[in-house]
Amino acid sequence: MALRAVLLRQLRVPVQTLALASRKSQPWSFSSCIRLMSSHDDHLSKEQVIGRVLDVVKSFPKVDPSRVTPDVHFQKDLGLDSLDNVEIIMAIEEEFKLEIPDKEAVKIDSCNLAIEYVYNHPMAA
Amino acid sequence: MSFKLRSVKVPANSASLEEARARVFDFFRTACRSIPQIMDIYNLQDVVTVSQLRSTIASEIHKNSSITNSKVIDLLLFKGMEELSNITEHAKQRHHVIGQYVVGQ
Repeated sequence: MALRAVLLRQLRVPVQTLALASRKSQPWSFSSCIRLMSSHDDHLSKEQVIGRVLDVVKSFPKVDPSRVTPDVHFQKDLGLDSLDNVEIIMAIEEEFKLEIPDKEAVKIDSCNLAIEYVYNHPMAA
Repeated sequence: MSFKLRSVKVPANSASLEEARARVFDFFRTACRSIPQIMDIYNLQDVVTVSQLRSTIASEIHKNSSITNSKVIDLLLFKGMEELSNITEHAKQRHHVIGQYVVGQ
């Protein structure tokens, strides 16, 4: 066991020097190296989010597509009821592959809030 | 008669209409989230879309929208949960699901 520990400690040294050597020899800056394997740089743009949210709302059967604007209120302007509100939020969840917790879903009452929520969500696809 | 997951919850006993409304929305969200699983179990991909099934569930809930007694709403929710459990546990067959929820909507 002690021999194994000693051997492993010995083995650690070459790897460290190799990493240091390669980093120094490459002419790239540090900032370009750290994002090589990142999967967090594919956020949606605001126009994309607005377009897709409006499409979801317009394709809802009880909604008149010509009245849909980015700041329309579901219950006041479009004449829907609370269950239709929940249904639209579920449709948005399906479109952007999200899972919106109930506490947040209760607050989403209009297109504005929906667009903001989706845009600020890190997992929106 | 065995229900697997959903009947483990304590039967609802809503004190007010607001609480019953919250339970209805919870039930609706649970049902909508299990739609992809249902479409997978019964191979409904070519027959109907997810949004159509969602609208069907919403219209079923709308049929009873005029009820004001919270205990009656609780009972209807229990029956809805039972139906949803039956469907997701594959206790029904494809023609049942298609006949009841796809055709004639």
